[in-house]
Amino acid sequence: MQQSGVLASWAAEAGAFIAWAAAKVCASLPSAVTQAGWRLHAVLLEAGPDRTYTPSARLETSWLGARRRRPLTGQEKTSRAIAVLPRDAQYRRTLSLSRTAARRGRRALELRRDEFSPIPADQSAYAFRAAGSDGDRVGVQIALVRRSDLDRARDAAAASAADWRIAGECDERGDVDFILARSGTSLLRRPVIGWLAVYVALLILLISLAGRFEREVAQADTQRGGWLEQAREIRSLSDRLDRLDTLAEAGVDPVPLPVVMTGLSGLADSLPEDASLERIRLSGGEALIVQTGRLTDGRLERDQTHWPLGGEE
Amino acid sequence: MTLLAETLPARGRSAIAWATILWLVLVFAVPVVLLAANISGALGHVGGAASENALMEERIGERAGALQARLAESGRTDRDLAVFDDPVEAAETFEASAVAVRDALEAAGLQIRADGGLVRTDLADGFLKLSYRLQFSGPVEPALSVLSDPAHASLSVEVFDLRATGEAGSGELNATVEFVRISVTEPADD
Repeated sequence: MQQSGVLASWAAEAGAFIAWAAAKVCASLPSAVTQAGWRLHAVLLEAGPDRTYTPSARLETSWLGARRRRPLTGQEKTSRAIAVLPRDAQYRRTLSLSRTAARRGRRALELRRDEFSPIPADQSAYAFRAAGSDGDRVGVQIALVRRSDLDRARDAAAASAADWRIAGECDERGDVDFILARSGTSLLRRPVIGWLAVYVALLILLISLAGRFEREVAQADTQRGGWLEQAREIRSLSDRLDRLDTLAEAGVDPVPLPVVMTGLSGLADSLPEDASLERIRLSGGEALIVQTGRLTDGRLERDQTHWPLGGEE
Repeated sequence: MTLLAETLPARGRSAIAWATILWLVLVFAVPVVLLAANISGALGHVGGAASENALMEERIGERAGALQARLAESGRTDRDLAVFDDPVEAAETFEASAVAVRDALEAAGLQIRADGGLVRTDLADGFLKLSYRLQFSGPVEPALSVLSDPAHASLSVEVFDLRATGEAGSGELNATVEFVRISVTEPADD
């Protein structure tokens, strides 16, 4: 398998681990669940006696990623192909690594390449898989192939599909193993990245919608607060008017000084010319009582008038 | 199986696999579920709040209309509603206004015969009557001029008694004026 940088290596390791975890979980789920939604995953290409690669089967995958191998129907329309190298073109070897070394994966194998590869590195490629553990040792099975054989398979796979892989094994159940090469799909063009992009777009959409609705909620709450405030003001004013009515019923109702003085100013002009003012007093908050005196035939005659504060009586 | 998985303790592999998948599901699903729940809740809230606000607007409109009609019918003004101002501040303002009248009368040449000072009288229903009684004598014109001064327009009276003194037409008076302001005993809640 070719490395395309540290990120790709890390992504491949993470993907493999997640695939392992998913397979482990799926194994404990009911088959009705794990085997639901079969669909075409790839066309398998296998080499005949003349080393020519031809479609030999269809590989199907379920929604949960289970695989199965099925005969070709002739209706296969897919851009994905998996070419399986003949078993006799592979040199298999099982190594025993310490757990510490095994955790380093391919990097640990690269350091021990001389132990399992009789072919120079520039003329070979290899893939590996776990092969059980025993105490502190982890078995690693390696499939080593000549690069010329790999190139032949690659040519055949690339001719039949844009997205291709070269595998060392595909058993009758459809489990593909020893991935020796794959099409140069960049990390960004891999399906998982597409799904991640969809997921991120969905999140952004949801976040923007949530933000919008939160603003609407805040707006509605503000409006409601305004209505409640108005309701409180109305109730308060209504209560005050009730209390003022009670106060008025108790006879406490002072008269504004300007009202009295305005009443007085109109009063002077309406008095008879021969009358003299003796006393003016406020009466009950609604009128002035005006006492006047007039000399008639040498006698003082007194008169009393109610002068309403709203105008002339 | 990956080499990394092979290095895991055999007994815990299944648990680690489940934990990995559950963690992935949670990492990806939880934000979506939370956001969806948030949006769903907000939608419900907005819908409920809109109908509730419409109902409140209608009811408040009705109450406000009724209150306006009642205000117009009662003839109450802001001056009446000033009864509910802060009682401490109201007392201070009232006393200052009454003292200002007294000082103006003195300055106009009238004689202050009695200054009752600020008197507080408790009324029913949480009200308090503040009163300030002045008795003064002197010429009529300056007295009326002071009492008509717009500077004292904020005052109200409960007793207003002017008596002419001396010969008729001499223009002298004895007056008793009691300024009154009604106030609440406790500040209003709002």
